[in-house]
Amino acid sequence: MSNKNALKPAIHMQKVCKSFGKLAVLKDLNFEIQPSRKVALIGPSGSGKSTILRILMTLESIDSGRVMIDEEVLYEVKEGAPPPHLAEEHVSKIRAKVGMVFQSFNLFPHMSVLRNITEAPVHVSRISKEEAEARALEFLDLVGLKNKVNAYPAQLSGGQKQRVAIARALAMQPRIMLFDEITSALDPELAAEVLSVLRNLARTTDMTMLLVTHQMHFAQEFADRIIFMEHGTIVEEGSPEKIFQQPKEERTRSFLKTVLEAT
Amino acid sequence: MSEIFGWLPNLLSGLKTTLLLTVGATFVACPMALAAGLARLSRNPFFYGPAVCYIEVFRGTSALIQLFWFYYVLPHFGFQMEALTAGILVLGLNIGAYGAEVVRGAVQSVPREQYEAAKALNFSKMQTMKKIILPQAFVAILPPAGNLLIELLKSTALVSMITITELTFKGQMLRASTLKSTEIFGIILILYFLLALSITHGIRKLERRFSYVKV
Repeated sequence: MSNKNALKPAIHMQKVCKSFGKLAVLKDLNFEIQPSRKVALIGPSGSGKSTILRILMTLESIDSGRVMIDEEVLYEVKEGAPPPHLAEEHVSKIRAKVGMVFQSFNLFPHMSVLRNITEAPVHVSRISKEEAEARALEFLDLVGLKNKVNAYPAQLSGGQKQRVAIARALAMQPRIMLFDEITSALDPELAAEVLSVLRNLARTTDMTMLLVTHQMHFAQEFADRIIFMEHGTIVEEGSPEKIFQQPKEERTRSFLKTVLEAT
Repeated sequence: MSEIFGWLPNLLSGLKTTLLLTVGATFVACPMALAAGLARLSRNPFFYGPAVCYIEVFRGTSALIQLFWFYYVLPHFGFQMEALTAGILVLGLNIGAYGAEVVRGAVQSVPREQYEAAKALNFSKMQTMKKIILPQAFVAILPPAGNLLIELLKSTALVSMITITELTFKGQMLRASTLKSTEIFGIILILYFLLALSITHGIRKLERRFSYVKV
């Protein structure tokens, strides 16, 4: 692990447990991510990767443990105790640091591309409409869709929708970006255009990025750290070279063998 | 033919009352449907409790008995009102109860992912409802709302039972004095039909205006 800002992790999860009914999705999970790092979470379906992102975005609560973002407590639940009531104001302040892009895009279908991007900056961050629109155009340019500014989501391809969704999340200027299998619903060709946007983004910003993906080749070139998960626990983590070339754990080896053979 | 012109002033004044009842009741029904429909979705019993009571009572009892209650029974408890007021209130509350279920269904039809996207952008719950969910639900509300409005128009004839002389009642009075059932009820049938047609047309226009799948 790098020494850079080593004392102040951007994301810190301690002993986090989470179950859906009887199914334990996360088991005593511990990890931290330093600021500006690009981290890829890989592992079989149901291993709890997406749940981590959803907890960080406050879309799911936790059963026990502690979750911190920028050294501020987002969740802290003692085992067996009822979840403490967190002031919405506090959660909202932390949530403002985090942005998320979803597998199914989740654009607002009743708004134009421009309004999809400006709506939150104007009504949540309360910046002026002019500034929000200028910013939106910048981000649309970044994802290569400046010409779609007045289009509606229904008029876009899946790849374009996802790129708008990326611009929409960026417009809130988060410190941490979460990408939840953002190319899984796309044809390879459309996935490629989304990945190229992401690759650019990873190179040019100092945002902390956490990516859940099934595309091993992309994880390898995008991330500076790979976390391999199975059954709600971290099996192995390390640099892409280490994980992909010399995995220590048998389970990592067999997983990589299966998925790399399939592609 | 000249006979028909003789009836017109009577029929038109009845038509005016029917329109007044329909429009007035719509103004009662829309806010009731929205408020009760949303309250019904709340997890807070102080909201959904009253909403469920309202919806079930007004859907589950006959509109005619409700009219009798508002006009003949409530005065015994000190609530006296004009027949027209009672008519507008009862019809509005009645359609509002059906409308509440339409609103609830439409709001629930908006995918969960839309709430999640809104939350990820840090919208408050209020903003999420107002800016993200309701505009999408509105499109789904329109077709069944058109149905309910036509239903409302036709049920205005009920209020003749509490002394209001709307279109149907006027027709009956004319029939009693002229015995020309076919002509009179023929005209009335056409008038109702034209009104219903204009409601359908108006809703279509709204649907086109607010449809967001502009491909």
